[in-house]
Amino acid sequence: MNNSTMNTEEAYRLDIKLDIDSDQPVDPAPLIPIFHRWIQNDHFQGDVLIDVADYRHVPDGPGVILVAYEAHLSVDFERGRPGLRYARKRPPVEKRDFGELLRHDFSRAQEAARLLQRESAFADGTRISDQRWTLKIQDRLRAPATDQAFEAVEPELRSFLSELYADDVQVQRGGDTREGLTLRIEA
Amino acid sequence: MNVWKEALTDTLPASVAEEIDIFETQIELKRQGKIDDKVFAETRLRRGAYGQRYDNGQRQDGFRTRSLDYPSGDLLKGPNTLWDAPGMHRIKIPFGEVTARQMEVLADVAEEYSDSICHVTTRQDFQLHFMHIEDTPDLMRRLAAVGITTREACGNVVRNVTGCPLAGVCHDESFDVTPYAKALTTFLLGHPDAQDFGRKFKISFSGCAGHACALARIHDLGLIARVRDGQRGFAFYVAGGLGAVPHEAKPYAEFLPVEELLPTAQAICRIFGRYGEKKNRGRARLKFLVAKIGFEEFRERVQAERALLEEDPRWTSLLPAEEDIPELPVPGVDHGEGPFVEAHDAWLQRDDGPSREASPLQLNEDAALQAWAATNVRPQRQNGYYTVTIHLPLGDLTGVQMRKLADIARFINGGYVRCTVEQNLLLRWVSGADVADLHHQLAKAGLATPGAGTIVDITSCPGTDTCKLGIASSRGLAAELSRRLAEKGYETEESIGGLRIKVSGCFNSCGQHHVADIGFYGVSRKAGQHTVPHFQVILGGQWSENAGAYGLPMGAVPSKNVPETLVRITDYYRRERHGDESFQNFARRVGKVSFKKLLADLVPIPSYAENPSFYSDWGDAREYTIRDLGVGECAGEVVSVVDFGLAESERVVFDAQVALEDGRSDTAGHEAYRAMVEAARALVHSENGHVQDSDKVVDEFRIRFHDTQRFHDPYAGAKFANYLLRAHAESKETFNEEEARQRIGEAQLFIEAAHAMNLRLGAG
Repeated sequence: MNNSTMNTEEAYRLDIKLDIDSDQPVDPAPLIPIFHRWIQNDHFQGDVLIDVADYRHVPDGPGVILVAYEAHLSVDFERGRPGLRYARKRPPVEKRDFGELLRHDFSRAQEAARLLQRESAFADGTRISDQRWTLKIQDRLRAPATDQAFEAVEPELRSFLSELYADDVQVQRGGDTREGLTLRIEA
Repeated sequence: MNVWKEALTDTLPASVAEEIDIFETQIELKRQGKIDDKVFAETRLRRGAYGQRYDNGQRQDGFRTRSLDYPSGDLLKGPNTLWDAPGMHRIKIPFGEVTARQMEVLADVAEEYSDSICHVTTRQDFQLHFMHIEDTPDLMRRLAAVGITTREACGNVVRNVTGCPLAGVCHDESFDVTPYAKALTTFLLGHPDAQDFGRKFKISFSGCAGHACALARIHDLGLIARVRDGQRGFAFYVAGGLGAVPHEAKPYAEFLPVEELLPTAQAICRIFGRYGEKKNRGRARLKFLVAKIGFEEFRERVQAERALLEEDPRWTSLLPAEEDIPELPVPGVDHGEGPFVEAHDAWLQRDDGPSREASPLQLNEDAALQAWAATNVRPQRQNGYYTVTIHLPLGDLTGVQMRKLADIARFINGGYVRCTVEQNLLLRWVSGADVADLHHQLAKAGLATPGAGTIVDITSCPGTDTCKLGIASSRGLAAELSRRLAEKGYETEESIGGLRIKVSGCFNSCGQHHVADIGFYGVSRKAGQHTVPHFQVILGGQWSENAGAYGLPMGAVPSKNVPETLVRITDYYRRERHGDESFQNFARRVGKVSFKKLLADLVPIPSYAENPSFYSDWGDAREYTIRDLGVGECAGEVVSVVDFGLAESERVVFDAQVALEDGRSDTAGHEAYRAMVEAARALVHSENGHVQDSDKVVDEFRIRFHDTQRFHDPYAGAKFANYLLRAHAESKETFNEEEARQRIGEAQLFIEAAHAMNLRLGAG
């Protein structure tokens, strides 16, 4: 495989993780009843909500996942860093280019954060940030962790970030190069 | 170049690439409604793509049953299985060995297609959950590029061949069974004699009789290494199995020379395929056939079949020559040069081995290191080397952890890890000097959980988390038990630390509860208007001696009382056992009545008003119900070889149409002819077994179906049969567009007539 396989426009598996700040260790246990209730009440409209997966036993794992057809929503602990994660699994129904999909999925993560912050059983003492977040493109064929892939997505990403934040934003490449393209954003 | 198919063109062997391309075409044909639901279900199962809970599009949310409104609506990928519903994918890992590169790819596909969790099963497979069917061909290509197949991971076929993870380094083994497990895996994968079973068929290899590492005696074929008069062979057990009705395997041969391993297995597959139950899935395992016809009759039929088998050079060519399997030497020791060292080097190319200098175990004062080493580190047969068990809670690790482990394994032993039947991973050839640093590295990756092989290392099947057959939350219970026992420090207590606990979500025993000291399986009980999750308690199973005995049921307790049940049982054993009496002997001595008495007050269910938590399961906030229970795919659909063959003929004629549209008339004409041969082959198989040669297929078809007029259409007579016979006689090399189109039309009619013939065969 070489870089000629790269095509970030066709890569749809965006994986957005908003940092969670907390003075205490983040406890994912309350998410189990919360996510079940979201399914009962169709609380996170727009995704076909399927089930709740409990991975609290996995150290630095995905915590508790609200499994949906389109994407998985979770409070995730990868590398010991808690965050609210919206990880797309299926292509969007309406065709969207990278910039459009990024805007859409980021807004889904924000919406989930807004809903979760209202859940006192989980949210007390925690704050979900949309100023510090990580974007991974989980597609090693179309968006590998290379300079070319980064250059391909950077203009759209910068454009989106300029809409989102008034001030300068830091964008850093990160993660294990064997993972998909990983970008750390701090506003 | 934006698809894995193209990106991996030069990497995949042509035959493997073609197999996966065919599956991708089958997916497309199913989407177009051109393959029967049952046939496609068994087709995808044989590729490892399995159903998952709620895949009928219905889910109880605690109050009501909700429809899951997927974009593809009612489109199905199997009977009552919605196209868009996420499923599980099982990935075969023969004898549990994975390389560092394979681990990296498993991590990648788990993150991209699944929920980022790699799950180790009780049969040394990996499973990914919440997969979408459209992603499966690329998953297969990426795995195949590093030598992993998902072929025959599920369905009514030979499943993953398991083997002792300590093979080659164990103190007590007769010899390293690894190359023999490899040989049988290769031989039976896709073998024509192993394609027509009524249910699955499981094989396991063990290096010794005493330990439990491979559980040989719960398998359809259980092989235990044995040396007699200097010759290698196996104690050969057959027809074992757990499930709802456990059967201990029976000794077929005390000693079967290694040269007889493959032909005997082939003969047994033939007998199972020919005489095994096909209609009643609940009675279709080999154990039921043996029970039905009697063991001696079974043995006679196998021996007679063995005598009839045509010599296959692979019976011996796939086996290692004994001189190729030297005892592994130790680095730092000068072995000089010569054939022994060359053979050893060749051996190292095929398997793991030492890559660091041997050294005595070096630990420091760190309490966490010492506690971990006490349970997770064991000396190998080779001085200065150790095995290190990575205790995976519930068999789960993340993609990130998998990648870190790949790096660690590369340093430690050249990059090899083995899965265990206790849902853990095993690093072998760890130098004693590296153990402390290894612990540090594993701890950084969240992989240094102590307690491997102890009472806190609880095995569990997926249960209601993802399995359609699950009745209660086995994983939820196992996590809770493990947490509570670890809090009490039970794993370090001499009397009870070594007990094995295993949990299944239902009676089918995927969590192997029958062979645990203390086993549980999920059941339900009514309480007024409500349903309450329970677990049946099974005591006194034997884990050692390759799962030498099964436990006895003691009654069911509500799920929420199981932790207290376990504490009482272990305390009772600790208090009342005689000397170093085993738990099996203790359970039999004190008897069922005393356990009943011990647990009596834990059986009643508190009222809903009194304690509503009893009406929910572990790790699940919904009120409990069994309304989500579905039809399992464990057994797969029983789809005959004729059905498969006809589906294959349709795929081939589809390829012919594609070729015609692309302007490749010659290919289209040839493929259309081949489609007819495939359909004829399927019919011939129903009466005469598998026939490989196309000329012979057509001859047999002529004799059995044309000349007897059985294939004749009531109105068209021999017309459709003659399409094949004429095409075969013509042996046409070139086709113009019109000729190719005509041949495709004939092929379609021939296949339709073959379907009609198949219906008549079934009716007859």
